[in-house]
Amino acid sequence: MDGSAPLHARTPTRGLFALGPPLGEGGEGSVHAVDGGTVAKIYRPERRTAAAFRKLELMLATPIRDPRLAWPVELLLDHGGTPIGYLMPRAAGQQLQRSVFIPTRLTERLRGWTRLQLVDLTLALLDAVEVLHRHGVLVGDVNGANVLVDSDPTQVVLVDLDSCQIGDFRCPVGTPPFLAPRLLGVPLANVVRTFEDESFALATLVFMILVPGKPPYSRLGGGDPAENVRSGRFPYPTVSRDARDVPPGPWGAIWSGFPRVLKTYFDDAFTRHHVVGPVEWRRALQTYRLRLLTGHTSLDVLPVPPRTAPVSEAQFDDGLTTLDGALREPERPCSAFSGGPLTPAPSRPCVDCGTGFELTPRQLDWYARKGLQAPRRCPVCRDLKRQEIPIRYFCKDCLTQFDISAGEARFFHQKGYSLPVRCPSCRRARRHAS
Amino acid sequence: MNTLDFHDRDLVTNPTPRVPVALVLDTSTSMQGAPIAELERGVEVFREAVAADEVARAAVELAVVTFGPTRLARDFAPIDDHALPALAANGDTPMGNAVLLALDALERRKAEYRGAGVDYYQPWLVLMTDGQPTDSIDAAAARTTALVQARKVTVFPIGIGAGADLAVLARLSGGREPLRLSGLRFADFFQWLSRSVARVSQSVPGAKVALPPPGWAEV
Repeated sequence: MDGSAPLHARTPTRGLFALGPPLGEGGEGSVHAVDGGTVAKIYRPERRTAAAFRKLELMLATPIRDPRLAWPVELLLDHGGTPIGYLMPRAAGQQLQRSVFIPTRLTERLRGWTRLQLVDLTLALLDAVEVLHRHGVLVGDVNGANVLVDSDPTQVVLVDLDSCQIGDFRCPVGTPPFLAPRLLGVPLANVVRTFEDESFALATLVFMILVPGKPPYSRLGGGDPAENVRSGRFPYPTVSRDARDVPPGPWGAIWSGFPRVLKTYFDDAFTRHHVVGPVEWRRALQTYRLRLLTGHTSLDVLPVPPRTAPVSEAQFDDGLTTLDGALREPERPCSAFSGGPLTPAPSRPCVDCGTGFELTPRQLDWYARKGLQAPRRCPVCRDLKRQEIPIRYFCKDCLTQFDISAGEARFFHQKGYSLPVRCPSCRRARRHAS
Repeated sequence: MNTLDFHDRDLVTNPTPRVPVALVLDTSTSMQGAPIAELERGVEVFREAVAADEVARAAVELAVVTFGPTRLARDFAPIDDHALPALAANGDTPMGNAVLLALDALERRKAEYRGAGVDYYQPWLVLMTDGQPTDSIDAAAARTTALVQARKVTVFPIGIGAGADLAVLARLSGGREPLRLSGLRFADFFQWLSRSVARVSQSVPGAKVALPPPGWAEV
């Protein structure tokens, strides 16, 4: 295909070797197989600048080794010793934009995925990005083509990392809707990205994974992705703001299943342009994970959208835009829910966690007729007690997976603590430290 | 627009930002024989190439307007929605009318996108003709110029054969230089078009709209 890609290349450690056929081609060059675990990215001739290779050398000098990051391992040279590209670990999987973001592909390619896998994917992604951040590197161009997913969501891989921002080297590219509003229309090669820019991109990516393929600012009356971001109108409802122009489809139902903390973080990011840090995101996502496990909210990646017709333009902004009936559902009792209209049933405290929950007269009657005692635990604690499914997390410190049994989860919930973010050994190490 | 039929279902369930493409094709008598057959094949090449790429397949919506007589042979719909219209050459060349029809279809579809909360990229209008218009193109030219300047549409005017009037095409393109197809290389042109349109739909850094097209255009 590309006449300038040689059939043989060399590296300092491997000497001269043959390159396989192109596995993929893009605007910058082509990717070729080298061996089972390694691929070579070969730049087009016009991309082979001195600055590009100085940047690669800086990347090579930065010791990043994580299976979730396709980080350069060696410079690739031609016979004459001139740099032409680099070697990196081979990554398996499909781009997000060809799998998770397309409904038919999501259900075909990632068969058996529930919302739990979507959450696990976001957690793995955030962890992987944090590895980069710890080395002072920003991904820069976060988008649906740079993230590869496989059937195991924890095996996500970030690719095309040579466009990262590292040292004095900028990230010259960006893609709506992930580009922070301040960067839209700006020549990116001259811009130093900030942590806020990166956080905006990551918040958008997390949103588009949990609400598969739907950009956060996509709404009734919207236009192209960049315009939508510029408008600043995030349509989804929060405790303090009603729905405004939520697009029809499964999106509103998915949103209403989020725990309040997650909705708050998304709203902060997209309405107030204030993005919280990775620790907060992780907690919010783990809270969501618990809701999913305990049956609080649907596990379907794409709940069937209610039968609604698209609205005519005249109806957009005069309050007739809550098309999705699911948005009106009151939250189930026993969440940390205060204010707003509640059903007028007597509230009783859960004996395990203390939060109030309601039993309607009809439910009480049923228990009485069956000769059973009315439940003393809230629905969450009832489910936790009933189920023995362990909850799996990534340790914040050592990145290994660890499980929390239903009994442990019940203990934390009763005490009002949030679930731990470190594995037992790291928790112990912290307690004994200093 | 109030019933949830098949098209609307796609608007509600498919979140991919759309790339609407309108093909405005000359089916006047002079296109009879090899030209119309090759053009029909080319459009099928376009459909196949787009359908072969997952992202483009979810993004591209195709409409076909033929002239003469002026007809909306296919209204905007996902690329795989239903079969492509057969093309028959027999009529005059009401180019102005055809472009206006295409722009109207585009506006209707954009309104449907907005009503369904579906994102969309700037639409493409590909105009292909082998001759002179037999109607006035003033209204169409004014509208395309205004839309191109407001960055609401991209127009690709292509002249087929020696009889195509490139000056007229230039008036309808809002500034883009019209190109003359080399021979009857419709298939090559539509391959290139499918790749260009796919680039718009995907996250590909760099130029979104094609640079000087290789191969199918006369220099």
